[in-house]
Amino acid sequence: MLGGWGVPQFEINPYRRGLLISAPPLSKIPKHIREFGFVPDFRSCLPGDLVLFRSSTFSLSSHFISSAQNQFANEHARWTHAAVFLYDDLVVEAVPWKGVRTRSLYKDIPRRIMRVRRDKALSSIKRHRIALRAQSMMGSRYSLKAALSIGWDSSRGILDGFGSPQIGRVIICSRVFHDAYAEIKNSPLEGCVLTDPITPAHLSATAGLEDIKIGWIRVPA
Amino acid sequence: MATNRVQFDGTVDRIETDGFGVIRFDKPIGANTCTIISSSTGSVTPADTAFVISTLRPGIRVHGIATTSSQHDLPKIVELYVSNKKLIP
Repeated sequence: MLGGWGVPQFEINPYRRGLLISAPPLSKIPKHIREFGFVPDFRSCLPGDLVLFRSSTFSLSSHFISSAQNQFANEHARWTHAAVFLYDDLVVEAVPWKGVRTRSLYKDIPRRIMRVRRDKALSSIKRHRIALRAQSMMGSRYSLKAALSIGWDSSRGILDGFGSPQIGRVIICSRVFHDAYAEIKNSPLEGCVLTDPITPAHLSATAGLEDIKIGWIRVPA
Repeated sequence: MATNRVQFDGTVDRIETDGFGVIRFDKPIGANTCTIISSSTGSVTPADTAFVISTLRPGIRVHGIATTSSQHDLPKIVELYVSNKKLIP
């Protein structure tokens, strides 16, 4: 079992927000978030940060992904998606069909729980380069074909019998961050090997990244 | 810090269409069993490598010379051959 309980994880949990922070109001808030009433203060994020995701409710695909990462402790295996923070509320991520794309984190609220991680030893320039490198992968990598291929390989390899296209999906989303990170830092993350599949659980468990605490803001309706 | 030149043999492990690849070494160089070749940054290989990467495919055997300045940094490939055909520089 890799990783384990001990280091607290700072989650962005829509239903366990903790003390709200006072911060200047955000300008562009979608209607569904105004109806929810709260939004994470993504201004604490920096370009190149890793964003991990898990569902706030049970879903079969999340269950399969968590099960396939069962060589890790549950606190790491439960993370099922990864993206790279760009700016404002935008991330770059890899998904089947569309490959690498950008989208708003606001779409995840309140459906998903998030976690932001950062290599604090990296300079600001290198963090920006990671974000730019990840964005430069847009449209060129990680098609459905690649996901299916990785899923098939993984089902015969390190992952267990739950190997499926879902597994391909989580490997390719994690690769966007790790490929960009390793290329810019000129060193892989601790506990990650470039030639092995990297999953969100690897990115959760690595000691090379630290959690960043993101507060919640009340949003007027 | 001193830079060491190391001969290596290896296999192309992964090639992405945007000019990113991973080469797996037969024997580790320092603490690394593999390194990155990339046409988009000059951090690992000479910048003008797009044509080289486009000719590589996973599974191809390669050899060459890499430089390394620390145990943990990824080695930088400065010469790359496929079956005695020189690709880099």
